[in-house]
Amino acid sequence: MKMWGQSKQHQNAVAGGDEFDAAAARVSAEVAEPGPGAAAVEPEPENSLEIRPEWAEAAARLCFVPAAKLVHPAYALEDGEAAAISPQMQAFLQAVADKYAPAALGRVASKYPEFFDLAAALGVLYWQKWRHVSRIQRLEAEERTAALAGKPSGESAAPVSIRAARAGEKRDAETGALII
Amino acid sequence: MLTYLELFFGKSFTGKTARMLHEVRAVPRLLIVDPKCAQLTTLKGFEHLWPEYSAKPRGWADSKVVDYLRKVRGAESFRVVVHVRDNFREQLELICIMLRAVRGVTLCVDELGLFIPSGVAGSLPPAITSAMISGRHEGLTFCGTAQIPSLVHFIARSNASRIRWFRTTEINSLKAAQGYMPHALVDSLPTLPDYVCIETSDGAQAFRDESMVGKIKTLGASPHVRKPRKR
Repeated sequence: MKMWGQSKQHQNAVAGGDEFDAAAARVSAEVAEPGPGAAAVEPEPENSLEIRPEWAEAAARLCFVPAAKLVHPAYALEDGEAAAISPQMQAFLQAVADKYAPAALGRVASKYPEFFDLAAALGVLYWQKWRHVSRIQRLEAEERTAALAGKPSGESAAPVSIRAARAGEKRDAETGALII
Repeated sequence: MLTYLELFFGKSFTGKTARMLHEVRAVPRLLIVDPKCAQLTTLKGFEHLWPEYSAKPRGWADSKVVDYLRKVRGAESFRVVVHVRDNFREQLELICIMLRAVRGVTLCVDELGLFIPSGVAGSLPPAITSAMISGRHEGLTFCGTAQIPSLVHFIARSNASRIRWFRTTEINSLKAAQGYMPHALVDSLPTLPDYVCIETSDGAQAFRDESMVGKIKTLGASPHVRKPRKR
């Protein structure tokens, strides 16, 4: 008997045991081998940050930077020492990325939503400012280079007010006037 | 008769698990989840499964549970204990996924607080949440024991149609009991003898149940149900 709201496909699935096989596939950790006629399926990328060994090594070195600067440079890790400690550091950082950081962010977001919104807004603003300042720095560097070389470069030839330059703005090459 | 979701709260060795097993003695299709892996490992009349869990990739590394359920899913009766030693929440989620496909099963979970500790609604895995909320439509019935009610997820507590309160002295447990029974019965909870409980259920008055004294005994010896004396 077909119940209201129950599709025929659902009925067939229950009768044929497809639902059980689907559930069995969900609970198994083994990767099912594709049949001979089955098309190759690209594995889905995992939604997690994978900590690389070189990052772990850099983090391990970073731990000893304060002591190396404040007490004695010999505190700085050598390559062999950094390589030896990197597996533990990698496992820890992976745990931070997978468990601790998402859990902490979730707690902050649910407990202090205003703080979380402010932090997100500040992050976006900081990123925009960073892009703007990076462009200014690049233009200033080009201007300095051109001044040292004795001939002006194409972009910085005009007396443009560098600090007014923004991403996407176009200026007249001769007068430096803003083209709208 | 077993109702949709029944819970047994109380201190250790007060007879919770023995009472739970007594209540499901006539259930034809039964799956018990055992996190303690102690007394229940020798339970007679049951199949015993020891699945291996893989954290990465997540899931059971072997197919013991799946093979067993595939074999018995059409059977009129089966009784099995799944012993889990780690990754309790994850493995209960896998069991719930399977049982929703098998249908018509009673699931008993010893020490429920280990599997679904207290937390916000979203902290419960989706398969467990849907099994608890809408599993009734798939013929699922739940039983669970816990020592402290406040350490069990609120979805399980709020959906429980019957709770049996065994001896407890913990202050939060007594506070929780106040919402279910009169003060006189709450005051008696710290001094209840073994196997005696206060039963609270939907649509019925709370009462003190001493009917199991002498009929069941705490696990550690099998069979768990004491045979009646010959007269």
